[in-house]
Order: sequence, then C-alpha cells, then structure tokens
Amino acid sequence: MAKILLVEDDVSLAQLYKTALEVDNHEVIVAGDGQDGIAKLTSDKYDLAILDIVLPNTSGLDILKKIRETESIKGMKVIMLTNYGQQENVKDAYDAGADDVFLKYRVTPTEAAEKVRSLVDSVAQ
Amino acid sequence: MLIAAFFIAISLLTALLLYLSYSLLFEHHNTNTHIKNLHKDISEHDQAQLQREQRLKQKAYHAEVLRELSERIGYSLDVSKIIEVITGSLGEVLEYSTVSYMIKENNHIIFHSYVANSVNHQFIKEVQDKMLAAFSKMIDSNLEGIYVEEAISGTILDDTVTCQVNSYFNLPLVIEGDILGVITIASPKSNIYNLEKTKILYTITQQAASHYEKLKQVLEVEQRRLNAMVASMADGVIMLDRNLRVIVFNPAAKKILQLPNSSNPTIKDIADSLTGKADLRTKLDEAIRNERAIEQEDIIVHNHAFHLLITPVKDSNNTLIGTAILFRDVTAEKELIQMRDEFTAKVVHELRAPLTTIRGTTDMIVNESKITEEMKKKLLLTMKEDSEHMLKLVGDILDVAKIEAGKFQIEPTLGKLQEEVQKAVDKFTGQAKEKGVSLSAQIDPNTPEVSFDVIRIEQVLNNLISNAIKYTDKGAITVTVRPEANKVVVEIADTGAGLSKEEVKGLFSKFKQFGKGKTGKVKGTGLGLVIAKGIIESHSGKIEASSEGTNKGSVFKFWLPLKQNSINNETDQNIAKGGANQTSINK
Repeated sequence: MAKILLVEDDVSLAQLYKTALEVDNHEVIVAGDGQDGIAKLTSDKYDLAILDIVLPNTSGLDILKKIRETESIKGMKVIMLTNYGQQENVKDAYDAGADDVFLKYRVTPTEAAEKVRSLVDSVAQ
Repeated sequence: MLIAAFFIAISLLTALLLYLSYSLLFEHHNTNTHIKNLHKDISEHDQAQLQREQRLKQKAYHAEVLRELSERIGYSLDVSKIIEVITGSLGEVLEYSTVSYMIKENNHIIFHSYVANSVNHQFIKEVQDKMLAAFSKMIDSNLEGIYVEEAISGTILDDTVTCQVNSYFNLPLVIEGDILGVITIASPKSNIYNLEKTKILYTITQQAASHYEKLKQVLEVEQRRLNAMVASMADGVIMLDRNLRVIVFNPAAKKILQLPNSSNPTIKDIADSLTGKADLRTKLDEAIRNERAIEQEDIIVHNHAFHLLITPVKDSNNTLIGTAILFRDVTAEKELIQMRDEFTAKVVHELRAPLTTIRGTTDMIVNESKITEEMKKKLLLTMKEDSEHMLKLVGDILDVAKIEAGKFQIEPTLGKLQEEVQKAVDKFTGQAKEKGVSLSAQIDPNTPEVSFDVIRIEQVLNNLISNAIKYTDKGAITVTVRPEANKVVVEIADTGAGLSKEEVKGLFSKFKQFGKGKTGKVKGTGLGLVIAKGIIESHSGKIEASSEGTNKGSVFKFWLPLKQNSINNETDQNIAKGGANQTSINK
C-alpha cells in the first residue's frame, strides 16, 4: 500500500509499530536516530513518515522542518510521536506542519495503523 | 531666709575620694548648727528607733533597685534607664520635690525631672540651671546655650505655688572613669540633706555603675563573639541601624554583591546593586512597618541564586533597633532540585516506555486478526526482554535508594578475590572475542585473602568488565589483581573509547548516568557504576576511574581493605555510607 519511514530510537516500540503497519500491508523502513532518518529520507522516496520527536542526534521536529522546506518532499504526510509529559511538543509539532500527532502512551499500534490507513487513503483520493 | 545649698560631686571610684570630694565641694551655709539643733530635739530613744527604721528602708531600697536593675535593664546599656531605676523608688528613703537627671547625648543634653511634690516652672528652671552649671564643671566643658531636650513627669507643675530651690545636691554618674551624667535631688525645704542621706544615693549609684560596667564587658565579649561569627558566616549578612546606616557588612555579603565600594557601602549602594532583582527599599519599609520578616526567593546575583530575608531587629524591650538583611546562597540546592526532577522524569519515562510497548503488544495480539504466528512470537520475545529490563531497572533504582539511605547491606566472608576475578574474566572471554578484543587476567600469586560479599563483588566485576567490552572496539582489556599496603587492588584497563575529564566527574552520579546505558545489545540502566561505588564503599573500599582522554582508553580501579576489623566490625562497615554520591552530585 504505502512506503513508510519510521524514525524511532525505542527499538521495541519501533518493532511494534513496524509489525502493526506491516499487518496492514505497508512497507516500513526503520531509522534508529535523527541522522539515520535524514539519510534514509534523502536516499529513498516515501509516502509517509512517522517521526518520534525526542531522538538522538537530530530531533523529529528538525526532520519535519527539513521535510517541509525541501521542495521534492514538502507535501509528504508526517505523523509525529510524543511522550507523556511533553504535551508542549504537540503544539510545536502542528506548528511545524505535522499532519497528526500521536501520544505514544495513549494511541495503541492498531489505532495508529488505522489512522495511517485513513491518511494514506486521503492522499490516494 | 536660710539658703541651704549642697553641691556635692562624688567620684564613684573610691569611697575615700567621696569624702575628699565632699570636703572640697560641699557648699552649705549655716547648716551645720541647724542639723545639730534638729538632732537635739529628738530624744535618744526616738533617734535609735528612727535610725533602725531608716536603715531598714535603705536596705529595702537597695534591694529594690538592684532587683529592678537586673529585671528591667536586661542587656540594654541605656544610661537613662539605669538612672530611672535608681531614682524610681528613691522617695522611700529621701525627701525631695524633684529628682532629675541630665545626660549628654551627641550634640544635646537630655534633662529629665520627676516631680514628687508640686513645684512651679521657675523651680524646674532653677534646678536645670544648677545642673547645667554643675555638669559643665564636672566634665570641664561649657554647656551654656546647648540644646536641652526636656521631659517632666510626675505631679503637674503649679505656678500658683510659691517656691524656690532651698536644698539640693548633685551626684555625678561615673562609669569607667567617665562622667556620663548628673543626678540632682532638690527640695524647697531648707537644710534637709546631709552627708548621711547623700551617701544612700551615692552607694546605690556606685553599685548601678558597677552593674553597668560588668554588663558592658559581657556585652563587649558577646559582641566580639557575634562579630567573629557573622564574619565567618557563609550567608551574606548586612545589618542596618534605625536610620538605615550600614553597621554590619560581612565578608560573604561583600563577595555576593561585589560592590565597587565594598569597604564602606551605604544602603543606597546595596539597594542600587539589586535594582531589577529585589526592591530592597520597599521590602525594608515593609519589614519595619509591619515588624515582621520579609522573604524573597530566587534572586539571581552574579549567577548565583539567593534566598533573601529581611528581618526587623528588636531589643529585649521589643523596641526596634535596626534591620538585618540575609542572603543565603541556594544555587547548589536549586541545581540539586533540578537534577532530582530530571531524574524522576527520566525514571518515569524509562518505566513508561516498556509498559507502552507491552500494552501495545498485548493489544495487537488480542485485536489484530491478521497477525501471523511468527510476528506474534517476535513481539512476545521483545515483550519478555522489555519486562526483564523493567525488573532490572526497578532493582537498580531500589539499590541506589538503599545506598543513599545508608541501608545497603552486604554479607562479607573471608575469601580469595582473585578467584572471583578469574571467574568473571572467563565468563566474558567469549563476548570479548566476538568483538575482536582480547580479555585477560593478571593475578599476583601473593594476593592475600580479603573479606567481601561474593555476590555483590561479582556484580561489580561484571559491570566493570562488560562496560570495558562495550566501549572497546579494538585492542585489549586487562584485569589485574595485586596486593598493596593493607589492601587488595583490582584494576580493569582497556584500550577503548576513553573518557573526557567531564565524563570522569559524572561517572558515579545517578543524575549524570541514569538512562545512559540504553545503547548496545544489552540494555543497561546506567546505574551500574553508581551501585558499584555503593558496594565498594560498603566494604570500606574505594573505586575510581581515570582516562587519558577520549579514545585513549580508561582504567577502573577498586580496592578492598585487608584489615581484620573489616571482618570484626561488619555492622559498622557493611552499611553503605548514605550520601556518598552527594560529592559527585554537588560538583
């Protein structure tokens, strides 16, 4: 269905999201930190990116800003992931142009997969 | 009309001087014969009775004055108060219309007169003039024309009364050889004072003066002690008198405020230096007006955080005598609170993250019909790893809490530390080999037995060796065991990533280390070294790290004491020294 870049440093959570999305027939590429994420973004083409906000090296917000500034990929759908106690990040994420923001502890991977599906569908239409 | 005027200047230094002064300064006209006649009129019996009563009254008066001196004066060195005590109950032993005192203060004279029997204004004026003249003579300085602050108390003055000063005597108040004031007893009656009667007042005045001198000495000693204490205080202390003059400005205050004029600053200098940080003038006003302490937290002065306390200072009679301003440096406390908050947030995050995954995994397995068996197995394995990590995390956090609380218990037994080292090295050889790093042990055969907790020391060795492997990509790791004076030393040296000076500083701090162990194959908590330090210190040993710098390898070294008392005094030794980490925290 869609090719998704997932940038998440929590290996377990990355694996879980990857599985949930793969079950929904998406192709998921995982990057473990900000720099790896940017490298993968420039070397390949994705339909959607899921970025954790707090990441080693480059933050998810910085990657999002970079996407919105880069002509070839500025229209890409981007979902941001954030943790408990970092609600102020949510506003920053939307301000930077996020299409959706998931609070990790609140959204289960199956719910996340559903939201991804509707976002991908909206692009297809 | 007979005019009897006594002018007595009595030195308080010696009784001898009193008599000498008397013979020199006693001025009276026609009085000796009068006193003699008066005495003749009284029968001998009556006289004896009278004398007894008089003596009793005098004794009672002395006792009363001395009691009042200690009760009312307290620690105040207020001369007028002392005089008031002396003259307060003088009526019991002496007959008079007015008792007055005069003291010199700065550029004026304080004149106070207590009127026992109604007299007119002229009488008071006469007393005042006589006192000024006598005081001028006593202190050898012309006081004519000086401003006199006058206070009259007691009976209301009555100008319909016809009277003038017919008997009086002056008594100088001498303290430490200085004439501080004069006390004057006056009456319109003639010839009523004699040597005997003036002696009563003289004696008690002398006692009061000696009381005052002793008190002054005590206060001076106290003052010196207080000054030394204030000077050595870490808090900045500024004291102001009632007129906001700076009377104390301790070295700490100097250091804190760094004023250009730090040797003799005014309140303006101090308040100006705090502009935009604290409105000192308003706060001083508030503290004085409401007679209560005013606080202000978190004032930043020259990159330090201070807690400011402005408090009114009162004497023993609850009279405001000034204000104290205190600056307490709370920078370290603030930093510690911030580190604690960050640590708590990190702990919460570290526990919540695996829980989020565990919940997500169960949700997927239960609700996602399309999930394959292989996917399920993979997810469950991750879940197992996550829960194990959580257990390890909770265990480590508890260990650290026990170490900090001084409740970390070890169970030492006498044994061969080198054998444990060899076991640990053997255990990790495979893992090192996988990374292409050599791991070897160098054990001195003369290493004696030492007392240690086998399980806990194994934990330390595992931590140090696995860290060395983790941070070494090529080269060698050498673990050495050797005896040194009264101790056995274990050293783990590697050729790996090394440490910067800053990193070495924070190695054993939970605040700096927590959450740092997440990288690599096996997830750590970052608390391993903090716990290792607690374990080694529980053995009365020491652990330290050193490195030549980044990429130059590092050496971790710990030692355990050989002394027999390390076994005998287990109860003293096997409790971790709580707060041992604090030294690294407060850096």
